[in-house]
Amino acid sequence: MIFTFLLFLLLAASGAVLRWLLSQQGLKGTVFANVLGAFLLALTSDCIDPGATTPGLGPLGPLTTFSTSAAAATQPHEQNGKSKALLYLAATLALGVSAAYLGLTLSQ
Amino acid sequence: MRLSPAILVALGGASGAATRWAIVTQGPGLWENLPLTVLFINMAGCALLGLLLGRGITEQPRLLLGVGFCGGLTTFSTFAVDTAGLFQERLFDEAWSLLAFSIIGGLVAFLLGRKIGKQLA
Repeated sequence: MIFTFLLFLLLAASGAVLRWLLSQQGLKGTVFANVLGAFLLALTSDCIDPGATTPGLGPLGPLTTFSTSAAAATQPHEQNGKSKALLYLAATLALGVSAAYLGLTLSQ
Repeated sequence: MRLSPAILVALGGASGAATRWAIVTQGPGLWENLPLTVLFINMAGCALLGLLLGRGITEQPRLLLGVGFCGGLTTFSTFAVDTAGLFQERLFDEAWSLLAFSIIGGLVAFLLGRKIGKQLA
C-alpha cells in the first residue's frame, strides 16, 4: 500500500513536470498535454463507467490540467481578442474528448 | 531557499494529485450518471488558481501552487474520459450537461476567484 502510494506520488510529480515542460511551448503545449493525457487515460482504462477512472490512474491526471485551461481561456480574451480564446477552448475540448473517445474505442 | 522550477512543480503536482485522489475516494462519486466529485474538484482548483493570480504571486509560489498544486489537483483527462464514456454509452443529455457544467463552472470559478484575489491584494 505504501509502495503503491509512493509510486503514485512519483508518477504524479513526473506528469506535472512533463506538462510544465510542454507548456514552455505556449498554449499549444498545454493543449498537447491535455489531449495526450486524455488519450492515454482512456486507452489504459479497463472500466468505462463514468467517473470510475480517477483513483487507479491518478498519475495521468497531473499530466493534464483543467485550471490552466480555464485561466488561459480568459487571458487570450483579454490580450488578443475573443476569437482566440474561443478557438483555444474549442480546440482543447474537441481534441481532448475525441482523443478520449478514440482511446476508449481502442481499449475495448 | 530557492528550489529549481522542476522540483517546485513536482512537489506541487504530487500534492495536488494526492489531494484529488483522497477526495475522489471519499466523495459521493456519481449523481445521475454525472461525476460530481471531479466536477467540484476542477471548479475548486480553478477558483484557487484565480485567487492566486488575482492576488499576485511571485515566480516560485506560482510554480509550486499554480502550475503544480492547482494543475495536479484538477484534471482534464478524467473529465475528457468521463465525457467520452457518456457519449459512447449514448447518454447524450448527461454528456452535454457535463461539458456545459465543467466549462461554465470552471470559467466562472476562475473569474470569481480572481476577483476575490484582486480585492485581497
